[in-house]
Amino acid sequence: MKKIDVTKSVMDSIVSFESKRTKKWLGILLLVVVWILISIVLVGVRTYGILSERHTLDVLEILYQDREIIAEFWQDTLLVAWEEFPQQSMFIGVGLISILIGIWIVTKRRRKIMVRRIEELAKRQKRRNNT
Amino acid sequence: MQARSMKMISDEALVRDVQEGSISAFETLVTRYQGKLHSFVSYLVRDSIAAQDIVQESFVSLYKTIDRIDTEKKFSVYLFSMTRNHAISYLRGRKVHEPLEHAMHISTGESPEIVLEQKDEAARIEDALSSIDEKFVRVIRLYYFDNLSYEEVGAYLKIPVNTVRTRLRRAKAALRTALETL
Repeated sequence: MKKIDVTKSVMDSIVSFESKRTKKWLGILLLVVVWILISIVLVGVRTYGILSERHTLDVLEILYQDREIIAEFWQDTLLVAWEEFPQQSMFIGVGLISILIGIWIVTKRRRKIMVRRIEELAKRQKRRNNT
Repeated sequence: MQARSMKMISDEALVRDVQEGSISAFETLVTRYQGKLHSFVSYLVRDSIAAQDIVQESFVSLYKTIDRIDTEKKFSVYLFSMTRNHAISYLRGRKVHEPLEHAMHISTGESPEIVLEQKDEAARIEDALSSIDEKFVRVIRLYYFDNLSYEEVGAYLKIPVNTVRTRLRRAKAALRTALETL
């Protein structure tokens, strides 16, 4: 059999392709996660603003001071909280958190693979720099 | 995984390892198959340099699609059929360019008569080859057309070097007879 060695050229192409693919994937993941986190913070700030405006937190603080009241009238407390809280913002917030958790779970395997690839790419880069 | 232990791992396990993110496992696959694929493609396209490019392309596309490979099935079958498809695409592409190259060849040097004679001769040899035993054809193609050595032909066909010599001698005799009868 004629001896050929395409290993280096093939691996160079693979490394270049993999670096681009990994960067793209991580970039998209980071962008989505950061966007969701920023949205959660914004929704949180908005919710807090509305609660402060309505003095809902003050009401809840009074209720918390006497926990026996909450224990006895927990249904009324919940109803107050439910009516006082800005429901639309809360739904959006809960939705965003659920999406974030979903992404985290769905990408678990992929992230593991990516971490391994990044480690290998880094090793190869280090080896290349040393030679 | 260490390089030494990787050599003992099955292809399917290496593919699984690549699917799990290992790049060095893929390097092992390349080292393991590049020679075999090169001989295979050389036999198909009859051009060692083009074969090298095709092998390279095949490995790169293999890597890009490796996540879709079913590791329950035999990997080598998948790899060889994918490489064959690349070789066929190359041959199709070459067919499109051939007439132009052929025209250039005529205009730069040899006279049309010589070119026609050579074409006739090549056609006669092809006819003769098609009439002799396939095992003789393979030896002739590998030795004369692909310029492989006795050892390389032996390794490719998995036969001893002495058998290659004997087979080649018989192949030449069979070809001579076939040419005479044409």
